[in-house]
Amino acid sequence: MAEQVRYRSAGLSLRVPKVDFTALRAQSQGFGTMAQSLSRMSNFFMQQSEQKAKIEGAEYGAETAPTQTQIKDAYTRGEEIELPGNKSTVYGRAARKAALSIVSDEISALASSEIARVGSIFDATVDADGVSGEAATNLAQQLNIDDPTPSSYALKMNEIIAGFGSVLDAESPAIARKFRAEMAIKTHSKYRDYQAKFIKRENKRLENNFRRNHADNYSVSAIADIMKGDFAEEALASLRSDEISKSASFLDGAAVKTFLDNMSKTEETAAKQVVQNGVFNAAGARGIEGMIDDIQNGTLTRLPDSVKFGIKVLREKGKSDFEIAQEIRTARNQILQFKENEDKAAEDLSKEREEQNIALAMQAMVSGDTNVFQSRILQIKRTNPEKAAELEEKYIEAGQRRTESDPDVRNKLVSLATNISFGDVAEHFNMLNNKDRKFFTEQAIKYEDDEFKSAVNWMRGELDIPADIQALAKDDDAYKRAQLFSKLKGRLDLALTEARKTQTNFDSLAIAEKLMRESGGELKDALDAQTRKQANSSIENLNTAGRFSIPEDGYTEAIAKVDLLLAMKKNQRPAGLRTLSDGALLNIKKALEKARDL
Amino acid sequence: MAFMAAPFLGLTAAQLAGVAIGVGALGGLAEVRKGQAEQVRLNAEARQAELQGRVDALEYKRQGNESLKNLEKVLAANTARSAAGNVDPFASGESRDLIARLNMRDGVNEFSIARDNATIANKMAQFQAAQYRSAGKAAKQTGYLSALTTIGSSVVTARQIK
Repeated sequence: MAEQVRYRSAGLSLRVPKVDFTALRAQSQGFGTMAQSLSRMSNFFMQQSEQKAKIEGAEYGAETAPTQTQIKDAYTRGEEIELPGNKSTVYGRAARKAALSIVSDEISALASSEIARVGSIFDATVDADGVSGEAATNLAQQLNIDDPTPSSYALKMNEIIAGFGSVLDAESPAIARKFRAEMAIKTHSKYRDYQAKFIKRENKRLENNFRRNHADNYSVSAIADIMKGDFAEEALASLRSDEISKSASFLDGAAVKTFLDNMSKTEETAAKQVVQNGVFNAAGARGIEGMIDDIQNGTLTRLPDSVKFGIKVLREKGKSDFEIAQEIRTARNQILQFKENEDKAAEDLSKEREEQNIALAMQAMVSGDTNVFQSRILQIKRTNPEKAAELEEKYIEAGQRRTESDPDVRNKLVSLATNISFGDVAEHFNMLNNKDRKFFTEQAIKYEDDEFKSAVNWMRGELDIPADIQALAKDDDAYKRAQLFSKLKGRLDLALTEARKTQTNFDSLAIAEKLMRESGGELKDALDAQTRKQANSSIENLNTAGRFSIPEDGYTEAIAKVDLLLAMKKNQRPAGLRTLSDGALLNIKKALEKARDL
Repeated sequence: MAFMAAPFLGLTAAQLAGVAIGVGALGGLAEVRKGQAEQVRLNAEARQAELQGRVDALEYKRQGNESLKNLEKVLAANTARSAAGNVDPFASGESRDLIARLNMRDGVNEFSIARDNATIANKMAQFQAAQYRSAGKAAKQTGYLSALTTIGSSVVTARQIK
């Protein structure tokens, strides 16, 4: 059989193309990106909220932090303070941190203040140089301490630091420890300063005590007493030795020499005193000069023991017998001189007092102070009766009033010149002497009288009364005015008399004007009557000269006649009226119109 | 930078914050544009994937046809050889018939594989294209979201300034 051909396989196999899952990858990337963005935003908001929480927490902590008063109370009661906030949240931590910071500062400030206060009380006590007085009282009352020693100081400072530190022990031990350390450093330096000051003061106090005691024990009088007593030499040597040994604790170098020199001077002074007193007091029959001669000659056997010892001491100080005697003589002369000076001073004082009394008496005379004058005169009479009598005589001559006017018052009254009044004089009457009282009163009378005359003349002019008027008949034109003038003058005179009596100011013109105003009605009547009388007189003249028959008080008719006459020529007028000019007719017309209008 | 802000162009802090928000908005717009461009690009990729699938499918079809052509050649050769050897080429149950059946099974099998490959290539290309399109859509949406977060961040940041 023929060979069969086999189908050769092309090797095909199932092929599945690889698919790229782009969509899922894109979605994945997109969501990833978005997740990152959202995460960033979330972080951002978280940060923001954290910052905000921190700020708000800090604000809350600052607002609600314990006050100074609360801290002080806690310190006083020995309690711990509570802080706002907590340790678990951002807000709480921030609040707590802020409050803690404030409290820490407050406590530091309070503690510093308290330390300064306590320190100042201690310092004041030490500066006051003693444990008594106001500073010591403050120490005892405010700090309950009697003794301002450095250990008391340290104890008090430690109490303050421990007290304020304990306030924070529970809330923040770290800050409490830090506070204690800082305050300890601060107070330590203060403690050292105080300790140094205290020791210095103590040393000074002991030295002062020593010096005070030494001044008492080794005074001139004490040494003089020893020199005058028994066993003076031994006693003085013993005292000297004691004082020198005591001084060893406080003195050194040049101070020791000064101290010894002063002791030596004290001894010398005391010895001089003992010798001089011995000589002056014990001078017997031989007298002071005899004893001084003995001392000068070195013959001491007849002298008292104290004087002998005094001379011995002075000799030890290097004084010769002659020098000792000379000093006694000098002292004696000084005593005599002193007595003489004392007598002279007493005499001078007496003289000086007399001059002072004379001056004061004269001053009292000027001002018119009789009490002072008499008391001074009594003093003067003791030393200078003639002068006292002379002054008394002058004062009596002046009427026992002031002998001189007050210059200011006098100048014032003089400057018033013609304006001076009784009131001005009365006001200053007591400040014027007799002479000026009289002078200024006369001036016031004179010028008030002048003013009165002026006022009378003014009234006369106003009422049109002649100056030389004497007596007027009732039917005279000026009778009523003269009568009114006389009445007004009387009233003015009365006012002047009243002013003199009461010593008040008198203004004549003002009073005259017032009187004229008050009598205005009477004056008008008088003037009206005069006007009518003049008009009727004119009517009568017209009737006579012009042969008219105008009735009395017929002013209107008369005016018409005058108008008619004025309208005529002169030669046309009645013969009796031709001599009248137009001006005269117009005057008549004016008088008639005036009477008509009344 | 803060120390430069105040004197910058003579603007106040608030005005500069406004500028920052504006710049943030521009950034957001750019994000949107970027998303849109990415979508366009991925759509193009999708079309390209579809074309590639069709090309691959055609290639597989050609391979299937080639398999059938080879089978035909083998069957024809065997028929000719049988006839030449005085063997009934169409007799059934003979060895030749069995060989022919074996050959046909192999040939058809390869053809089926090629045809399946073509179908798979086509379908998978469509799937890939759908992936690209979906990715493009996602890129666009991501662009919008990014724009929103960018603008939002710039606004919030600007508000922190003052």
